Amino acid sequence: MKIREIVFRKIKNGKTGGAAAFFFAVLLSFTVFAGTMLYSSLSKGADNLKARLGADIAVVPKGQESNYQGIILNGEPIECSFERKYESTIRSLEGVEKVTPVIYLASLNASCCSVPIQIIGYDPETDFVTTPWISDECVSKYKEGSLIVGSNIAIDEGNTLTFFGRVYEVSARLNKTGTGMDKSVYVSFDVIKQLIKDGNEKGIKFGDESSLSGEDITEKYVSAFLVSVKEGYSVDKVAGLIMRDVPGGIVQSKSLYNTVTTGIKLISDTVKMLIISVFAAITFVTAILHIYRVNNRKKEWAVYRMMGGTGTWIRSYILTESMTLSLLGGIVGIFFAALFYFPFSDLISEQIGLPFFVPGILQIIGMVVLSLVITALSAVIPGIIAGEIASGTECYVLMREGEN
Amino acid sequence: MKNKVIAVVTVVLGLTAAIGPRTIFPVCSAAEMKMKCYYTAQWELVVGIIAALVGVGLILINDKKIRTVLSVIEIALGALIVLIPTAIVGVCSSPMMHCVSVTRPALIVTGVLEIVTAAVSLYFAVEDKLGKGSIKVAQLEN
Repeated sequence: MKIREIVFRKIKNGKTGGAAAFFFAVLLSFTVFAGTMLYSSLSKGADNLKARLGADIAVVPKGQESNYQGIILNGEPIECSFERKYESTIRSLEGVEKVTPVIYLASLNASCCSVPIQIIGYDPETDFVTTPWISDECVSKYKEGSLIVGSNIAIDEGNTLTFFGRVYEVSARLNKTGTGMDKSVYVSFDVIKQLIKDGNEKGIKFGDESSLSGEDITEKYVSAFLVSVKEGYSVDKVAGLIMRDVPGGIVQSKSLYNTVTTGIKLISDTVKMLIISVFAAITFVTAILHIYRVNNRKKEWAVYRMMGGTGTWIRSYILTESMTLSLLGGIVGIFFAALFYFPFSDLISEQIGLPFFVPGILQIIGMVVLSLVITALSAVIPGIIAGEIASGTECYVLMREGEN
Repeated sequence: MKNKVIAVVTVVLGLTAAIGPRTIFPVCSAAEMKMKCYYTAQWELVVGIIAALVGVGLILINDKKIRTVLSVIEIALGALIVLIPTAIVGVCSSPMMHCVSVTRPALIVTGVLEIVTAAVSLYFAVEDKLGKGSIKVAQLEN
């Protein structure tokens, strides 16, 4: 009979005395898997954010800078009014490549949701932020006057959404990004005019100016301008020029991205420290536990020795048993971490408030393997120490120990 | 003893599935209209109570055959606890709703734990019924 067969049989019969070591292995693999999953989800969310930002600079009304970040990161609905006449001013500045106006509307009574959602209006003639994503993912389905929805927006059964009593066809759904953009609905300026008109008829006012109509908002007022900077020009310098000529606030994509990565770094540092501390503490505790359980089975080692088992055989046996206990604990720990992490990922994302995207299957498999390797490694040194103790004592002494 | 402990766990999980959607991880409020998650909570109440009663049966009954049957029923009920919010009835369609981000995951976790616990109970019941088997003499390598 091979060593691993004896080990499995002993574990199955519960004769190893390794329940505590098993429990600590569960704890370690749970921590490693959940920690690495959290870090990967946040990194993936940040990558998606970077890819999706599109513009280098957002020019928003003064005092609305943090609200703009809220739209991008968490999809928090805001409305703001900025005079559209500044579009030509920004366009004429040195280093500016493209400018496009956008309108952010908070819908109070979408048929899909009990909570307000963000409606993002774009100008199809100048847009360079939203349209590339539409053309990349759903150009064949897109129809004029229809809606494009983020992945978190629920639509009605007939593939429609109702805003202020009017039914709109949904032509496409964007892929999940893990950012606030998932909670947004994208519409062209024509649809925005219609939405505002319908809202006004129902007594809902938009913008800072309470009397603004749909025509006013798209022609005279918008929420923000998104600016792309020519290659070779400094974004900071162009932002300075905009601040000089336009009475608005500036949000740079890089500072938005930096805000996110700073948050992620803080969490990833905490996760790393947690994994290292748990690994060190559990390796130490496991070593004590393995030595204890090996000492309790001295007569068993003596019997193996009498049956012809060498010291090397006993060392291999104890190392195999320790690592098998850890690996089994590792599998159980990963199972529990996955059982909680995947179903609750939306809630975790909501609570953290940073872009969050669960990684793909290959990356998850990689993290499972990593967690199992770390858990198994935590048993190597304790297993070797325990094996040395059991194999280093004479058979006669082992057998007679405890007798008077 | 271990059978009783496992049976108590199945009772606790059954009660969690029954009353959780109304208390610990509530579904959306049905003040104006009853949404899908409201009916999920109703179904979970029924299935959860049955699971708890089957668990009580596992505590009280020692007959191996009956324990095997009850464990299989408990596994099926655990699967139902998972399937009601995910496939059979469902929850609200918007991922931003509380029932989607909290109630459904909590019921999935409760249901999976119920299945695992009942599977362990089934394993012990079958093992007890068959006996532990004869001990074979181990041949050591080397």
